[in-house]
Amino acid sequence: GNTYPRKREKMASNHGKELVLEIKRSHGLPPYNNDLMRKVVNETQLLYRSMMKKMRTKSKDELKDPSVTCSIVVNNETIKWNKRLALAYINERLNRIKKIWWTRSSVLPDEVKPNMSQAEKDFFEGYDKILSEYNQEMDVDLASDMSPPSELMVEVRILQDYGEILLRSGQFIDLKRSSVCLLRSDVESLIQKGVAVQLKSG
Amino acid sequence: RESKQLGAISGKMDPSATIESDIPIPSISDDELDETQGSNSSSVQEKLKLAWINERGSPEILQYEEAVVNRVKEELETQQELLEQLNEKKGTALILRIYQMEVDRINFMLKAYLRTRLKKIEKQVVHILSNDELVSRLSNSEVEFSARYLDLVEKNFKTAFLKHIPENYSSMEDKEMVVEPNLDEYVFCRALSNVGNLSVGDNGDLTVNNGDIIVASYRPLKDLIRNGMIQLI
Repeated sequence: GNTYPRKREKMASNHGKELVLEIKRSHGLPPYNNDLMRKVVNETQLLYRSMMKKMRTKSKDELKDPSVTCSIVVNNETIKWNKRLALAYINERLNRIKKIWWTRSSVLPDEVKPNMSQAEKDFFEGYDKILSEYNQEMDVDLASDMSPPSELMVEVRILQDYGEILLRSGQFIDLKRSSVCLLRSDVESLIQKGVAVQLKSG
Repeated sequence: RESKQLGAISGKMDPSATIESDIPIPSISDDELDETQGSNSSSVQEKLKLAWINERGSPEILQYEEAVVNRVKEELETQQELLEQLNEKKGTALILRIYQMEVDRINFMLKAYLRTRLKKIEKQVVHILSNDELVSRLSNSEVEFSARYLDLVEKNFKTAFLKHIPENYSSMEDKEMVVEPNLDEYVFCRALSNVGNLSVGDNGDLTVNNGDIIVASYRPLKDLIRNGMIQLI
């Protein structure tokens, strides 16, 4: 008969699935769920130990019993499934982190930092580095001109007094709270940083 | 003083609108890539546009158009310098703006081309790096980028999860982990010349003439796209 106490086979607790659902249902970057991740890791290790134990301690005859091989296979599949779920969670977060570099700034915004694990912060830094190296080798700035230019001059509102800054076009400009008309290429970085807001034309 | 008629950008300017200028202002769109590049003498700008659109439409990474990119960069630099010189002169404001817009547009296209490729590389990095033919389609900077990017991702996966689980499972190369392009994906394209009879796999044959627009699976069209007989749209 079945000698396994039920409570040891805890495959029903779906931490991996929870992780993926959490990231799927959220926008932006929610806090890194270290807790759930650890649970998935522990569950995986447990499954592995249980699987290895069966393979080691069972006799050859017992190992031919489908109910035994079945439980070994299920353990193996669950481990692989956990791996897939955990990596999907991690990967999706990395994608969102990359998006921050492209759409916001190459410096980690303060409100995002606390939601990231150390590994993720390292990733961002590393990503910035390899893109900067690429930019340098190719002599381009890939993060600018992200959308097709539709007009030459753009009217923007400067949100605060920022003082004098040097624009891409080589001009110096004194940024004060006001509406001003600037070259589109100058304005792009200002908008990205949140210094200015584009006013709708017409 | 020389009166020069400007053939600006994509359309033709009003022939009565001439401007007096000491500095001839060639438009990038007028320039042609040198004759060694093939029978179609399309401007370097058009070649860039073609490369970009093809890259966007194709499921796999295409050959890096090194000659086109380098030429475009040269021209952008020259044009930008010219514009800066012109800036000093009076009465050139309108012309300056128009030329500046052209420079902006081409700049955008160039970067969009490079970005599209990087994005594809990121997505298919393991698949690309494991295949020498695919690696040969990348520029040197892209090859470096791919290797570094893979390292970065690997490091993150390992630290966050893989190093905590039993070693037999900690590989990054599982079949299901490698993202491969779907070469059978359907794509829209336009024929640039008379292709004649084209076999599109199970669906049979098509007769394709210059200018025809077709929808077909990518795989049978691969080589035609590569040698410029059809383009993706």
